[in-house]
Amino acid sequence: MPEFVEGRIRYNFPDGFYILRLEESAYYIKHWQHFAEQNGGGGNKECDYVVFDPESKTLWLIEVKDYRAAFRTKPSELAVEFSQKCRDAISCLFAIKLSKLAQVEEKASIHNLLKAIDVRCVLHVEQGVRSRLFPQIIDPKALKDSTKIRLRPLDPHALSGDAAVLEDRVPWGIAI
Amino acid sequence: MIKQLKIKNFAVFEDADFLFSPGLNVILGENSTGKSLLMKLAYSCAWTSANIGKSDRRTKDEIQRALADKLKNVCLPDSLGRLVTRKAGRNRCEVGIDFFAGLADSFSFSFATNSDKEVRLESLTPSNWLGATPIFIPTKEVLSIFPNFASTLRERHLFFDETYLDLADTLGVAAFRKLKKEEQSLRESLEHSMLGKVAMENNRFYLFPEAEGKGKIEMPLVAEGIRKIALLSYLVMNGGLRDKSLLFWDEPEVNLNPKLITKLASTLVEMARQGVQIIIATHSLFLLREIEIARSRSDSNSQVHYIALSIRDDEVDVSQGNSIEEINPIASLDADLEQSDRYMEIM
Repeated sequence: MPEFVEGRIRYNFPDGFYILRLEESAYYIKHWQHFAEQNGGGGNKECDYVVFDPESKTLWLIEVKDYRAAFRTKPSELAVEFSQKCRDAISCLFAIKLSKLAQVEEKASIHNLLKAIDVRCVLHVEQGVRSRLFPQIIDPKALKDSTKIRLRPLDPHALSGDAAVLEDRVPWGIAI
Repeated sequence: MIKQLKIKNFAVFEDADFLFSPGLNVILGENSTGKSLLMKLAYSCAWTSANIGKSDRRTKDEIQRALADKLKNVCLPDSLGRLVTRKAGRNRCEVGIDFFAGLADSFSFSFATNSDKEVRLESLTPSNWLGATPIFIPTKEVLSIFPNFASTLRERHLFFDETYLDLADTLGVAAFRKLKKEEQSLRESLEHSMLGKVAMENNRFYLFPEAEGKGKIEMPLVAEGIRKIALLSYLVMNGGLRDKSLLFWDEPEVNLNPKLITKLASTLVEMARQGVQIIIATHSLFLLREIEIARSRSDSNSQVHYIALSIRDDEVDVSQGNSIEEINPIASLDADLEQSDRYMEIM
């Protein structure tokens, strides 16, 4: 079972799953980031994990936010940022497939991934317990609604929440 | 039941086309996005249709006069032209309303900036009059001021819009001795949440608590939130809200505690299921979520139509759909997330 660590969170993906860290991709680092900075005003945003389940042919776009560790993104901007990351990840995958500047090995590595027939977006947010009036920084219901509204054109059933919410809904293990 | 409302140059709406479901319709938006005026316009059209349909006065002049009077008395502008979208020079407001029975505009009318109390009927489909007189529940509570309210309002200049008078008239109708099974069940459910029954005695409303020995309580002594539930209960009892009725309710959540908002949401969904078309405007995210929960629990396929109003580039933008995911923005949801931002800053 391939294990990936994001801060204090560990993900165990089932054997056979293909896991891509776009930010580590040579094409992304050499060309795509620069391309986006030059033309996008604000640059490119990438999801933490792009995961392919070969059995169901599902492409999972996963973003991780651990508010126990750092407060980087304002809650009101979380869904917007996540939707931009999903959009940019999909664009980057196709750029790797089509651009002559992408290396052959890299093209080969995403070959299977682009056989996906379904795309699912997952925003994993850990918050911990805060106070009585604000048990969590972000109301999970508000997070769920805002994420579903923003991601609707790509995944009308986009998932968001902590490990307890996600564990029965995603095919990988999460240890927080 | 209203199917569609097309408006041009009415108040903050330069050009908007609103669709309504025959069930529950929820209008969302910040202050000054036109929610209440939109409801009052739709109510004025529906009220005029229902009352013209019942009367034998149906000449073009009579319909024009009825429409103009209703719109003026419900919206309370100094002159009707004040309701036309402001711009340099003269402007003309156009309104077209279609009811569910109709194939085309049931009627459309227009009025200009310089209109005092005149509208021009542009088209009319005479067979499409609305069957039942609509009800508008305004934000201020009326049960406690009911005695002599309607007669005083008719005789004197008070700055209450006509929705109050219409509601008082509807409340003046006596309760049925026997209700239909579903209405009775709705009534009992409402009585359960207010721990008592509402009744009118000598032209005054009272709450009769369930608990023995408590006698009766005059409505002004009853908590305001309970009075709203009592109002709903009485409208079920006197047939004001029946199959094919049309209910407008501006900010129904005002003065209700979360427990009563939960009851309100399930009641609205149930009434919609029983055939009442409901159009509400709300700021409450809590009510919105309770409606979603009640809708999902309802055994029928109850449809909720959402209309979100927002200001973009000084114009009101309309977003509508049959699920909460289809509309954007939801002002109360954004406000909730912005509160999280502020909380994060003080941590």
